[in-house]
Amino acid sequence: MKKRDFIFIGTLLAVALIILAILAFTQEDGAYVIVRVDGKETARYNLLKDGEYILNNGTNILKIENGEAWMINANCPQISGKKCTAQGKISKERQTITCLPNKLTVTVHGKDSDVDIIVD
Amino acid sequence: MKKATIIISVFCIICLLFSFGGCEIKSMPHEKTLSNYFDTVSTIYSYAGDTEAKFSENCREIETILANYHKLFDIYKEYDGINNLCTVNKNAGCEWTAVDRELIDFLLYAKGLYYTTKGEMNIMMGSVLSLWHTARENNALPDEASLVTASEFTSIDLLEIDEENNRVRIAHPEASVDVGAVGKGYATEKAAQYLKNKGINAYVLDIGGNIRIVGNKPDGSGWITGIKDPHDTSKFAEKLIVANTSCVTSGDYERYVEKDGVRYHHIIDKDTLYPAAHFSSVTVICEDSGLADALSTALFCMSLDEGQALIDSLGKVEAIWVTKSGEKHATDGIDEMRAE
Repeated sequence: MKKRDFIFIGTLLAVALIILAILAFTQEDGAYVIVRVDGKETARYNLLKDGEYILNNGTNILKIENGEAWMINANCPQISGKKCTAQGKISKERQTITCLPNKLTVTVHGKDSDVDIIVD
Repeated sequence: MKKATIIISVFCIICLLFSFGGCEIKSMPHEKTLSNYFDTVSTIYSYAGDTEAKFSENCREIETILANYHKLFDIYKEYDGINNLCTVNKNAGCEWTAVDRELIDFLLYAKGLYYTTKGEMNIMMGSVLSLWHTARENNALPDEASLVTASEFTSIDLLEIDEENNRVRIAHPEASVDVGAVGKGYATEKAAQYLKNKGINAYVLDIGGNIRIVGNKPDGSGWITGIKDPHDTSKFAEKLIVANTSCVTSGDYERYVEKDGVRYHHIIDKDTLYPAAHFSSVTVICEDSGLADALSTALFCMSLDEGQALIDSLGKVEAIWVTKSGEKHATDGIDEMRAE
């Protein structure tokens, strides 16, 4: 093989690796929560970054600390079952806090999980 | 080396690289969340590897089916242009209500399940259930005397179904229909049948926690399914590998009112008129979602022996019971489903 051929192969491989690297980095890295209102995604927050977030124009407030997320405030009326602020902390894949009156859900994604689906 | 050989080998290397990197991207299922049906949140998943467009189209069809049954089964609200169960309840003790054939079919189905479950799943428990519903809304407990009075109007025979003329009638003004124990499952199964009829595989319907898996994953494998531990809902009581089936859990941790430190959940035992106290959760696994939904409620209100006898008589149904002290009981078929 000539030197030209090596350069040719090398370039093709380099391009492939670059494309792959771009694809890998645009994938969500690490755990995060997806906030959905009426079925549509409205926000995402990194579970590894502490913070308090105002959701859905102020109807709910989410806190993230130490890799866990929970609802610290909500304007929803207390109905049957657990109010979203009493549903506890979520940190595992697919775990969800649901605020039904506001049609709002907060779900953990991006984590390795040992289950595909959860029966509830 | 010839140019062609070089190009082909480089092409193969690139394909290999992409297949390793790409498989991470491809294995994520499509998902769509819905919030408007059956007073709960639902999610549709596709593991079929279909396009975004095809998935959206299927979701639209599924949503149409769920919306239709949501309206038909709604006992709190009427909708323009249709007579639903709210209408039927309003006419209790008075006239017949003309309804769509779909509603007749459902009521006949539910009536059949009354007999199958020896009366434990009874859509005519409305008079008792509405007292509990009001109680939960007001964070109070219902009056015991009222419960007893209401229980006099729960006979399944009070539901008169005129198949020939597509009309129904509740024979006593105090009686009412409440299909919470089976309606969601029935609608879920209708959506699943739509997918099956179109030859669609590898979809999972999570309708407010009721799981209906249609088919297998493209590689033939099943889904690792976690059943929540009712005593610590961040953990699983069981992890099973299942496909082409429904999984429905009835538990005491979902909807309730708490008074003086005591929790009163939403599954009412017809014998006590109070929340059933046999178990913390019962999970039913069988293909039909309507059956799974009805059975999970019925078994929750029966002793373990009675429940096991009922399952034995039906066949092709598996179940897991978790008692209040955390003991687990399961039918024989569960063993081979376990993930570990």
